[in-house]
Amino acid sequence: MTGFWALLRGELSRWVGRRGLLHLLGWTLLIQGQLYLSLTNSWDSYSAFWGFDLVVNLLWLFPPLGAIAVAQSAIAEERAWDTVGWVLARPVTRAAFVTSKIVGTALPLILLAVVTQGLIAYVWVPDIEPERGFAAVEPDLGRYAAVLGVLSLLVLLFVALSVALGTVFRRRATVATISLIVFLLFTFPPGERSATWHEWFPGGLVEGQNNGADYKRISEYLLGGSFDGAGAVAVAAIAVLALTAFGAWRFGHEEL
Amino acid sequence: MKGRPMADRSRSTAFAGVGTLAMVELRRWLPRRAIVLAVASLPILLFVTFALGGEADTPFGEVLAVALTGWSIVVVLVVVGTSQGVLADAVEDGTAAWTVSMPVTRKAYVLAKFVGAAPAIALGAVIVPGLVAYPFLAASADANSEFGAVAVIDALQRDTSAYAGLPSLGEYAIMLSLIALLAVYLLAMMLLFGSRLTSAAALLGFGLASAAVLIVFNGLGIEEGTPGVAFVAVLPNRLEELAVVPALVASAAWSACAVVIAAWSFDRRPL
Amino acid sequence: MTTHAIETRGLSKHYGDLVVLDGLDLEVQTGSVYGFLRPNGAGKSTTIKLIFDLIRPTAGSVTVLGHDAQHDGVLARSGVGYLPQQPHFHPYRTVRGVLSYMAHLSPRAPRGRVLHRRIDELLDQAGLAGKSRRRAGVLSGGERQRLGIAQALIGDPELLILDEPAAGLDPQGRREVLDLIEQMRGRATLFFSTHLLDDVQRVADTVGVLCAGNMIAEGPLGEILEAPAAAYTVRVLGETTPVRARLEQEPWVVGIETHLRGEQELWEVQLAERHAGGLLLDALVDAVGLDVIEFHPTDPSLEFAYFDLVGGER
Repeated sequence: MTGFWALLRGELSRWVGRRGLLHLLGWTLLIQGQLYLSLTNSWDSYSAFWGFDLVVNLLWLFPPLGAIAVAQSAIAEERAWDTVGWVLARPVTRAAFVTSKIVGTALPLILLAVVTQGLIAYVWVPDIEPERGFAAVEPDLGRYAAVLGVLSLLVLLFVALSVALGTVFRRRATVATISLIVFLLFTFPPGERSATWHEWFPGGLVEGQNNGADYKRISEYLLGGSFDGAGAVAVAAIAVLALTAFGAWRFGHEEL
Repeated sequence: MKGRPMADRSRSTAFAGVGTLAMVELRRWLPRRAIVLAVASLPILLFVTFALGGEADTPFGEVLAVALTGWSIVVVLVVVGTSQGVLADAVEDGTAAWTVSMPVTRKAYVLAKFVGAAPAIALGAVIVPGLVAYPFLAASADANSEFGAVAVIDALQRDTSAYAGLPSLGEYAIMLSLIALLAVYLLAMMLLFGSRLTSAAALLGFGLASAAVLIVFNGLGIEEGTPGVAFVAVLPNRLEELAVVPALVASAAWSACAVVIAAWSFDRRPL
Repeated sequence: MTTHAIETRGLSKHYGDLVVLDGLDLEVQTGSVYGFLRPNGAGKSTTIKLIFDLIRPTAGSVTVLGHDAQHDGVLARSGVGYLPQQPHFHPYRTVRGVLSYMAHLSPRAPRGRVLHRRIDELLDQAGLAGKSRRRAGVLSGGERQRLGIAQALIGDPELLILDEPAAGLDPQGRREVLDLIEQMRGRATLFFSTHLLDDVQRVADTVGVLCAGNMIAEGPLGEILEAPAAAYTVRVLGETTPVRARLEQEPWVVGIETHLRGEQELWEVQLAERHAGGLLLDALVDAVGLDVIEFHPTDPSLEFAYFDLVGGER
């Protein structure tokens, strides 16, 4: 992993400036805007939502899609710019290159799209609840941080998937398409959901009704319930490590 | 205005070269990419249907509706994912600039991209897998069926009109046509975004957003004049209430508008 | 300290039936300036990719600064600066950002304020001081080349590998690159590949000629230049045409290149054998109606040597 920190520094420096600001603005408009419109309107599909259940809903849906959009070209653009050979001619390993792409893409997205938006919502959503007839609820900050952590893990998972696919497929269109389909099947698996899926599949953490009648398991935890998704979290974490290892191995064998 | 080229005003040669460029584009998509689309699309459709099927007492119409709705969303993702680079990649790698340095107009170039890619996407992602899946879909209508080859073979040997709620082949073809037009509309939107944007993330994001907007229109009840009517047409008994020809024309019109705007936009883009 | 900065033994690379390199043995002495000459398609890019472990050899080995390029690649590359052919950079990075990025990837590069000063120096040297905030994606070809040279030097390398260093540069820029190579003599080992024979002749002390995947000549420049047949420069006046026609019939004359100098003609006479100089002089003195104004051996040219070697291999 020689060169990992230097490469990561290079990846993160890309987010300092215009790109980071655009993302911050975009995510804030998208998440907080939808949150505000949904909680202050009487649209049927959202009217029964408890505010933080909707926060969870938005943060498990959009940031992973954003992760796919950004990470689909992590490797492809380096090939298109012809900079892969130039960078790897430095004393860095290929594994460090791939890992820095994953961490360097996921970290800013997690910060801007999950953590920042979650914290902003934590500040104003409780004030909206009484207007809608709900008691103001401020989740325990530790539990809230844990939930944001799980949602961040899902973002990391899709970044790792897209980067790993990028080491296999040359076209970003292929990477994006496969990642999007995996995301769809991951979050909306068809058929009756078996107990096994419920317990071990990360999608089971965010399973729930969209009309607010049945909060998600992860939202139940926010409300003070016990967390029974340790298996699913472990599976997600293992998947991240496996995809990273696969990407590093695959890229290590590529002739440049 | 600095950096913006003059619009091409040579009317007599405005679309010169469209045929050649369209054939080039079509050859890029056929057969390999189109086959890949079909090969990817068909199993997903079957998987979605069989995973849903086998539930006792569920009218087949409902099973099909959920299956096709889910599959339509897959088609949306596939089309947005695969067509994001139709114009943007050509701009990035310089082939667009090289092509329009020849005696072809930029409008012709954009139109050719659309004309060449649209049939491949419509056929590969929707029509062919949809039609191939028709007899297999019937297998899920049997309340006692389970996912597997035996059920499919059994279903193929029966008279499929015996299944309540199974649309006729003509009705099913209309559903597929609307889904195909939705796919073509999304292709046109990716051309529009690609005429201006270079960021891959922005392209994919806007592409998904253009599909999400259609779903919002559906939620507001104004789906019939938009390509989003495809999501509604697959619902039980909705096709009977739908004015089919106007729906097809409206869907096609949205695509045409997007292509026109894309061509206009690309005409003014510095390369 | 190892005596060879780069050493290859039996290095081969095949792509199916296509043989790009076939048992290449190459030795670049530490501290030397090694010019790597090759026609297009000879395997130069492949050789450099193998040095940097960007591709794997079919057979053989590569050692860089004493380390195996494949198994100790990171150590091998730690002391190397590299200028790729047609350098490309991340288009979103500024010129200064490119140098900073490369510096942080180079363990031997300075840090902090020293790095800042070093970047300023290199930008000055490269003529890019006024463009340090410009994005690399909008640089011209020549500017990219200069930036490429600067980033190759940022890590204070022991070994500099320059792939077509003068490509895309105007004559002034080309001269500056050659001056830079001269300045680096003694401070680092230089390995540069080019097809510009003049450049190699001017700065290299060792030359390797690669053709069709094989090293067909390698050694100090002087040895390479002694190899070919002699050439003479002759300036004549008078009845030149019949004399020239007669000489061109002689078996010991390979060819005569003629340049007009007013009423006089300057001949570059290529001889097939070194001892034929005397025969040439006799023939000129005996020629009726011809005045010989100048007669001396021509300076040995690498161009003749190169085409002599490469032409014989094709």
